[in-house]
Amino acid sequence: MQSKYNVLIIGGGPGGAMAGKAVAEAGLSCCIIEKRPAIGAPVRCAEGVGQEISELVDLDPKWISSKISGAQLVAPDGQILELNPEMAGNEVGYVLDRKIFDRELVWKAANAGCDVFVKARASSAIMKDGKVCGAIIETGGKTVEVFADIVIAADGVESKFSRWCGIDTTVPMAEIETCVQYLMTNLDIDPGMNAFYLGRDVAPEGYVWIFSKGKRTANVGIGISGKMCKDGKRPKDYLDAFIAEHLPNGKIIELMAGGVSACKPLECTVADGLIIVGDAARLSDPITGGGIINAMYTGKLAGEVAVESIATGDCSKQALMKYDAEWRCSKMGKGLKRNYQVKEIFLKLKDEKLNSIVKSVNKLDMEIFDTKYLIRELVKYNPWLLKDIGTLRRLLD
Amino acid sequence: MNAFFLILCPSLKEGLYFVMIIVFRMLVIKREVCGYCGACVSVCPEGALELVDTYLTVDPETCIECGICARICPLGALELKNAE
Repeated sequence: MQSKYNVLIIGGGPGGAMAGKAVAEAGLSCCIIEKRPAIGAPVRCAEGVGQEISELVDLDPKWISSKISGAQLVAPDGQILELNPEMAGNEVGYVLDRKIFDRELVWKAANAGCDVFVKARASSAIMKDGKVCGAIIETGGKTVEVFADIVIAADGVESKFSRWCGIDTTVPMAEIETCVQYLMTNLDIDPGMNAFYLGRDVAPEGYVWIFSKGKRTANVGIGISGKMCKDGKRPKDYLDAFIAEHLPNGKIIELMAGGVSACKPLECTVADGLIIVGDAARLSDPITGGGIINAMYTGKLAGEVAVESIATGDCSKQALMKYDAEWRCSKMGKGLKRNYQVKEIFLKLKDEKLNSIVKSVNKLDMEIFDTKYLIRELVKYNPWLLKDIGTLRRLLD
Repeated sequence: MNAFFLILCPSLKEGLYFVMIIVFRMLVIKREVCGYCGACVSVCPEGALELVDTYLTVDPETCIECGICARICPLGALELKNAE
């Protein structure tokens, strides 16, 4: 490990890897440090992504556990809403194998010239006159100082680096989705379909997912709001009850836990000498909890902005604000903002109202499926939506 | 470590007596339950928790025993206990 790099990246997930690749391809020196002994493991993810991931990386078939051609939304009363690609435009996706996917993304960064160190953990930030100048790194029993023009914090949901730099990253208790997932086999499922189960009794302020991992195998998981979590009513309790009812013959071959932020993104995702990306910047989707593509997109953007800033010799917060402004104006940034509002609406809905929505969606003409049409028709059948919730009106414009 | 002071002041003829009960609370990590997911780290308002590889650590000097982490832990691996 060198004692100085142009860019130091904390964390070897999809965000860190995309940043490392972008910086190395521009010919600058960079280094990814990963605290775990292996990239990509242990997995803490449902592994589902939309097909738009192919805009960020050329997909390799061996990263993909399952190709998804549709989804089922199961309402609290058991009604099923089928979302097929014919209905929802081209909204298909994949369930990834992240142990392979994450590793290959880091390989791409390494092949471009980025240094990579595993079992290397940042234990604090090096600050000078309020500017981030590098990190103290613990590796192999040694403590080393690594300086950098810019540090990219890609350290995920349990991010500490930004906090050491003086940025409050605390996720409010009501806005953490607390999750448990099993990898299960011996399941009678359609390998091309993902399923989502809603309802207060199934998953309060969250949902249960069944994401196909191929033939007879799936990630079966749950996320519930931290606010609803307590002894005897933890996500694991709900998930075990769900499995006993719906998948009694399934065998559990892996247990994972996780936290997903469903809050607003950090107020500012840059500081002098620092860029924050992905889950560390609280950029997971407030409705779905999906964060892989957002991390990849912001990681890549962070790398590009870092390269530009280093070229001009200005790594101040003001120069790096370009990153913050750009992702906020992007499709992703606007989507996060909208979905936060929609989440706030859905959290207030009682199960009966959710049932009524699903019932009316099932009546719709799915040939002309788009979001605005969907909302308009929903309001036609459920006029109380507008009365109850003024925010929805804005989403119609 | 947090201390709660319960002060009783029985006013007696001989003077004023103070009885002080100090309750120490501390965060206990059940290693065999912890799934090292880091959800607790993200909600800690004080930054007292850290996930070192797959080993969760708590800094007792920084922890204010607020219990938020124990509340949201997906597996129930954290517990606030009265130490004394």
